[in-house]
Amino acid sequence: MTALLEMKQKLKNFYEQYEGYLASFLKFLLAFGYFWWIRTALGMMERLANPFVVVITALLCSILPFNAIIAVGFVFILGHCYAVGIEVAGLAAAMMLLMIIFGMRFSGKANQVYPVVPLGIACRLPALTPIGCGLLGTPAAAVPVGCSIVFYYLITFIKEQEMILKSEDMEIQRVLKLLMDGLVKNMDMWMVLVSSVGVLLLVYLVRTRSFDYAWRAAILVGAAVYLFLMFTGGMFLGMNVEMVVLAVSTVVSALLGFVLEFFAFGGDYTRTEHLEYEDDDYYYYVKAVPKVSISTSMRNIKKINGVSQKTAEIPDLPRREQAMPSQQVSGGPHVDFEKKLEESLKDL
Amino acid sequence: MLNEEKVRVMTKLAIYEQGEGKKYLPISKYYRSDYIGLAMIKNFFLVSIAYVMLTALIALYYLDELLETIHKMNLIKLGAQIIIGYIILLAGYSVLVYVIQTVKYSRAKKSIKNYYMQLGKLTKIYAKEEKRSQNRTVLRRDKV
Repeated sequence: MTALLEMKQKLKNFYEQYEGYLASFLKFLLAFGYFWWIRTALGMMERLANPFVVVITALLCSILPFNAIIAVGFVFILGHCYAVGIEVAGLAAAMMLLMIIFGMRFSGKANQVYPVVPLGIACRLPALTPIGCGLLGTPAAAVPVGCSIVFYYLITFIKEQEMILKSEDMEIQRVLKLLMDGLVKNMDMWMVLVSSVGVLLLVYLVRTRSFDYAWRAAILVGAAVYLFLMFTGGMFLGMNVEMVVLAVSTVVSALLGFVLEFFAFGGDYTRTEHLEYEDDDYYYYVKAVPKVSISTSMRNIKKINGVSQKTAEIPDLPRREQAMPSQQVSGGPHVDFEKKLEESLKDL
Repeated sequence: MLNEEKVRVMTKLAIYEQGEGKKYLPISKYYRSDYIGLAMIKNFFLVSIAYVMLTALIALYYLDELLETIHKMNLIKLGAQIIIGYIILLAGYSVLVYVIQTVKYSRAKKSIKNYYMQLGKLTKIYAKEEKRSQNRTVLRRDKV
């Protein structure tokens, strides 16, 4: 455990030292992952599907504000949808606008989670994002998470129906009806949406309680509830849910949640202190959980060899000490500085 | 000579301006009523656009049924339903925007208090420095 804590501290120190570069690099990784997912999930427009374009835009996004990733992602999606048909692009644009006006304009910084959700689902870890958001974020994150899930299923549906949507005998009204049916009647989407939003709110609720090990309890409760909701939802809606895959992915998500907890929270409940005091207006019942902190060991290598002490010590002395001639060489010419100073003052 | 206190206050001000202040300083330039009023006007236009889009999408979805039954439909009732829906949606979002912007404005005011205190300190330091420099010039004149 000590080694892990030491590693955490080292990582923290490393991040603090290179914060600017690392933040940009992480942004680049996220942007690249998100754009690459759009490319593989849709990929109808050849120009936008070019890996070079994806890398360049991800690089650009690494130096731009975070919302640029979401905006560029929208442009990519619109471009690919336009390659299928103008009606499809129109519906995608309308959906985006509705999402922004009705939800995402209120969620502020929580919108940063928007590009993470499809990556989580694509990696077969759909429970990870709601658990992570519940641990690190606020309930406002439920809005971008919900919007992102809807868009994920819209994109996968467009890809599935690509051939039908591209056929020339499809009228605008029929295209819209097909897409909206594919979205509204997609029970799989509703199940994931309700489970994710529910789990996010629940994890946040449990995590913010004051009982011991609230973070860990939140992760466990979140994972269990997610499994339960997906299982019962699948049963009642007659969906074919792969229980083994779902269970494994939820367990992995919970384990990753513990990793997140290790890095984001460092409370040591064994040393909890309960204080009780009062002032003129209130009685205070305070529970103080100390943070686990460990100072990384500073290893100094001391060389012991046969060289005499006088000559070996001089290079290690700090500059200030080296500058003092009386300490450096004992046998050197003696200079009386006081006398010299008095003389110079007399001259003045 | 450098005035350490002045440097300290100016650093604090710069840190605030580049961090939290970026979000709150523009808000503090408005009166409360102006700030919330502007947000409400913006909200009115956004909700109106979104409602028109939503209604158009629903109409397109049910276009076949609409075309078949439009001659039998009570269009006044349908219009009234659409307008009532719009009013309910607009009222709901207006309340939401009002609450959010009020909280945001009061947070900005609270956050900016310390910033103005530091600004006051800086003004005092400048006033002191000016006084000192004036005294020096008077002394020099007397000597001359």
